[in-house]
Amino acid sequence: MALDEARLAAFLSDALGGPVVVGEVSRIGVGSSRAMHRVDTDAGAFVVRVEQGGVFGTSGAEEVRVMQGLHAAGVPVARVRWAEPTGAVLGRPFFVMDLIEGDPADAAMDPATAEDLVRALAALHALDWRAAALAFDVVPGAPGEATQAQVERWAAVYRAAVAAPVPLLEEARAWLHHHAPPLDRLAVVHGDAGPGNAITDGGRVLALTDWEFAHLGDPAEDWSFCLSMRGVRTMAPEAWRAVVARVAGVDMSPARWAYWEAFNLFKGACANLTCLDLFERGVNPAPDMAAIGTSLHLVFLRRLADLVAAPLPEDLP
Amino acid sequence: MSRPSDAALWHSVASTLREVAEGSLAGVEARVAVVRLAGLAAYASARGADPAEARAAALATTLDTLAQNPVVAARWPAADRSAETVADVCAEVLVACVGRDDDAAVEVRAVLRPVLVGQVDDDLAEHAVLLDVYRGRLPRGAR
Repeated sequence: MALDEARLAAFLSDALGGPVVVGEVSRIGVGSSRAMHRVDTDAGAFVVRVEQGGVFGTSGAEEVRVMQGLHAAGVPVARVRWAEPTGAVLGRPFFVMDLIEGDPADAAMDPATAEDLVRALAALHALDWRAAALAFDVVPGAPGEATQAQVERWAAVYRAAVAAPVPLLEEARAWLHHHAPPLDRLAVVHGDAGPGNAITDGGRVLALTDWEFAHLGDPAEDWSFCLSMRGVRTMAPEAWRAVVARVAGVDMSPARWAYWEAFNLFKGACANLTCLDLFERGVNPAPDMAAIGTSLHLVFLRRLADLVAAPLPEDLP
Repeated sequence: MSRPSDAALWHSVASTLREVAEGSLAGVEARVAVVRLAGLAAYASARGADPAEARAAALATTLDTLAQNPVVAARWPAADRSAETVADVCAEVLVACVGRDDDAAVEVRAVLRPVLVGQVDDDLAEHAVLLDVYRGRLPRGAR
């Protein structure tokens, strides 16, 4: 859906307290849950991030709050300038952030970039989120409850999108609860970590992007997602494991890597079903919604089914 | 797995073509949209009848064969053999067996699970062309 440039210009003019002329508008990337537009104006270049009807069941309002808190805490994220949560201006909720010029890391992956990405994620995980006053929707009562809370979060997302339970997803949910590793400290987890969600320049990470999956939990979720999901097209898993161990000091057992791979497949399989629901109801009729809600969901579900059926790992409960 | 209805598929075609015709989608975005529509059309024209009823029946029959299994017997037979009820029972049975390696749980996983996984494999085969859609590639065989 194209942006209504006149209404956007009026919104920006109101926000900046003076007339704003919108020049070129171009779509950035082909993401499905949020439409990203580069907007060049006489007041600067911005990125407008527009929700797409509830894809993946994530909250734009939380994403804005978290990004603002992270930016204030010195984490490399774009500065959010304004948010419009009602849909009254462009037909869907959106927010505006500063443009950060650079290259997506997956297009510019090299050893220096991989190391800096891992360094940035490690720093995120080490952040004192309470001191930074980050306002997440879900704050577990104790660290040990965090993983269970996320399993239930994604189970609820998928159940709201379907008419009947998916037996293999329910089995995976129970398996993830049964085998959840202990956690001593809550950390800020990106939730969709990897080269496709980082902007870089000359081997240096300028910003981590796409914060809609951010939450409090176990950093292992990010390491696994980076290695087995987003990062798999840029570097072999063994290479990622070596960088994560060397730069972040993270050395997980094979069993724990397997658990978090299963968790991320579960998260993806659950989230993807929202796309089929939105497509079927006509809320988001884009063809890729049908694709994500069927074929991509099935790819994740099939791999998850295999992992759940594998022999019980040794060092997990 | 439920699948997109004919009505939703046609709505997607109409909506996407309108956006291209009106210029809301242009350049690379328009090309990607058209390629995705080609994939959607290939999927719609090749897919068979909705297998939901047949699959529910197959799962119900599988549960019947496990009638002596204590995990299944506690939940089956159910009030009806509808797709929703069968899915509920299959989910409950699999969940009840997580973390167990006794004979009843092993039997459930050996008998019921392959049927469910087989249905996922069948769905993967039917929906494979939509992976091309997701990746913005023309469906194989399309000119």
